[in-house]
Amino acid sequence: MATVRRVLPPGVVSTVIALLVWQLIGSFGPLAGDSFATATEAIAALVEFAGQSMFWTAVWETLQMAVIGFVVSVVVAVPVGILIGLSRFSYRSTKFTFDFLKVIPPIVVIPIAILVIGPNLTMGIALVIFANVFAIAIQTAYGVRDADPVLLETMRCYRMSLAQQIRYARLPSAAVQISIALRIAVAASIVVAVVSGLVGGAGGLGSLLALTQSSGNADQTYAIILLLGILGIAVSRLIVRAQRRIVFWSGR
Amino acid sequence: MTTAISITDVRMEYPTPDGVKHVLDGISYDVTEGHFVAVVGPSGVGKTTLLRLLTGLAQPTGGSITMGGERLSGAPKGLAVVLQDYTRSLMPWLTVEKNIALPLRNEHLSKAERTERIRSSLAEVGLEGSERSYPWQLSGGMQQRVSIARALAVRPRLLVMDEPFASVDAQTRFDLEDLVLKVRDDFHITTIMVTHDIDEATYLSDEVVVLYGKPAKVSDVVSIDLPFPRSQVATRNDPRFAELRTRIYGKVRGLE
Amino acid sequence: MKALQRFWRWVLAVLIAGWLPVVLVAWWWNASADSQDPFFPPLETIWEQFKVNWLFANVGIHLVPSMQNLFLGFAIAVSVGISLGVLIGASESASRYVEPIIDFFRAIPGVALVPVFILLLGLDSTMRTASIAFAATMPILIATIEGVRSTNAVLLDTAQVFSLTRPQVLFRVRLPNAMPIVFAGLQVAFQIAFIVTVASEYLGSGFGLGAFTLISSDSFMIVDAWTGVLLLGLLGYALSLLFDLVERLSLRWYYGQKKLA
Repeated sequence: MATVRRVLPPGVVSTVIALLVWQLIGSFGPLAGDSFATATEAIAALVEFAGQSMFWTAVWETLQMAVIGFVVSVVVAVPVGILIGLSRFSYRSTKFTFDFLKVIPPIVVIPIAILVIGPNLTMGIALVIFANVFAIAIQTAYGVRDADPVLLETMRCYRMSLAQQIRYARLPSAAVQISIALRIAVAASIVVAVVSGLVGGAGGLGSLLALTQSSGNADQTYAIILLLGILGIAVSRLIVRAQRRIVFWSGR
Repeated sequence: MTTAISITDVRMEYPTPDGVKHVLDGISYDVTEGHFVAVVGPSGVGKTTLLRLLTGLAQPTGGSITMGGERLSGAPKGLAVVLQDYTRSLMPWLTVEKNIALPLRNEHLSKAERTERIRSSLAEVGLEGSERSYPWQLSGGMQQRVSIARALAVRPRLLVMDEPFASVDAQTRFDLEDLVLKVRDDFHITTIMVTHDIDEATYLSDEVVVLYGKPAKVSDVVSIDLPFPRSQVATRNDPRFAELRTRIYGKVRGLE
Repeated sequence: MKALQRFWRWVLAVLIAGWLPVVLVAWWWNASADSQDPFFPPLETIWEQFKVNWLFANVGIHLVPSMQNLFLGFAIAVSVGISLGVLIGASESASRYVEPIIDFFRAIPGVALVPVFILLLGLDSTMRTASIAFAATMPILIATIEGVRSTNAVLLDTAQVFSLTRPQVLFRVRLPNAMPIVFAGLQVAFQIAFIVTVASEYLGSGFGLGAFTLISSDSFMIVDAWTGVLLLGLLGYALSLLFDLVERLSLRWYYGQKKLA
């Protein structure tokens, strides 16, 4: 077992074992039956989906919501966060408000968003933005404030200007926090995009999921869930690698 | 012998939840230009506080610190510092070269001059060729050498060091002490070093200032008349060395 | 004198933190006062209806069932997750077998499984609690296993030198040591539980805060929908504060140690 793991890339063995366990549970356990799909059934349904344009439209819609929402959040939140973080007063003034807003799950806002924006892609994008923008902004601001005081004092001794202190000490420090916030935001964007579709009718894989589930098609339902799981893992691995590159010095 | 810095009747106190804390009381001392001065005293006596006043990071509650006749307001021009915690005063995301280049930005040098200063500073501390390394790729002793190189690169009028060798192992400490002596010989920069190591203070300096008391006063100023060049073996075995350090040690402990 | 100083410092802190939200709410109140927009009624109207709805008429019908499901589901998740996690984490062989599966699930962000659990278990009240419990168990389980396994070697060696028995090592060394990591898992699990609670009520029908809010929205009872959204938002925040408080009290030693470092 150990030798096998050493030879193959790390994720492969875990995935295979997880799929096997799934297959066993689905075939022989108490869950076996029409309302549950085994791994093979789900994979088969997924393959079948891959040949249908309706499916790819759904995938594209979910990606649109997640990506556009994410990009807009970052473009808005990072500069705002940096500005907030530059002054102690602005940081302390906004912290409470942003902490409050960032904790509210977007799902809570759906009943109003459905009315105001309508159950469509735009609503999904708006919810993704709502989910991310406050968290990214306040974490960026924290990073700016959190620059090492010993470093800042050394710079002051060398008579470096405030602008230089910001550029060479506070911003790199913020970069660490920003990368942490972005890592969370990427995952959250996909999830919120799917949940907007699932519960709010925004479209994409979420709405497709609601459809297959309400029509009782277990194979298709689990096919989509499997796809989401794969997507989640792939994105998560990519982020970790990207984060390591950006923040190569911090050993996080 | 000109005076580089005049510390005149300096008092430092600050408010705490339990009332006012008096840290320094009536500290007076004149730092001679080109001298190496060590400041010693028991833990917590206020050595670092004094250092912060000398670097302009804080203002004294009473008395004054003047350099070239002018009161200090903020960091004086031509100041360089080497602090104890090199991991936090060097920037981990910049190479050694860029770290040293940073304070040089305000010196308005041409690119060629800057590169040459960096190269020569690194050579002075025995780290030539390490421009492209990152601080965290180097050992503790080497990182502190980078800190010293950075200080040298700006050609400072005043070098302030705060327990610079407290975070390195004993062997490295001896190497760094000798490096400091070499820098002293080559550049004659006015240097003030805070240390808790009395042997080190005696070994390196021209004068040792002892702070003692709550609030702290100047308990003694000991002139170190040991000959230069100094060596780890010969100087430390000199009976005069033992006399001086014993006297300083007594003052630090509050005896006699 | 000291107490007075501390009081004023506290007042200042509240002022600095609070002026912005007060200004924002006041602006909203004013800007919406004469609103004709059906989707953005005047804040004053919303507030009046909020009082009618939630102080305290519908609390028993909607708020209580939601909170019951949430806390019961979470409690089940905590008990199952921690016990199972401790058992697996403490046993070398068990954790080695389970590890690949854990790795697989760890990469999936917790909240991604929300749709899974919403769908798996149906939506009447018992089933809602079960989905909440199911959804919240995973992050707790993963965190507990990781926490128990990651006890640092020096502590374990010390325990061995003192001849502690296996249960003693488990409960007095590994478990307390795992607590910070476990709490991180608990935090994620709690957020998931809250989201699954609301989602299960959206998809099902009948009672619950989420149900009330979505039904109001569907029926174009907009002011009621707003009151539901506001209450949910406030609740989400209050619960996260509560969680933070519990965590801070339980992990006093950890925070103290971190401060020294």
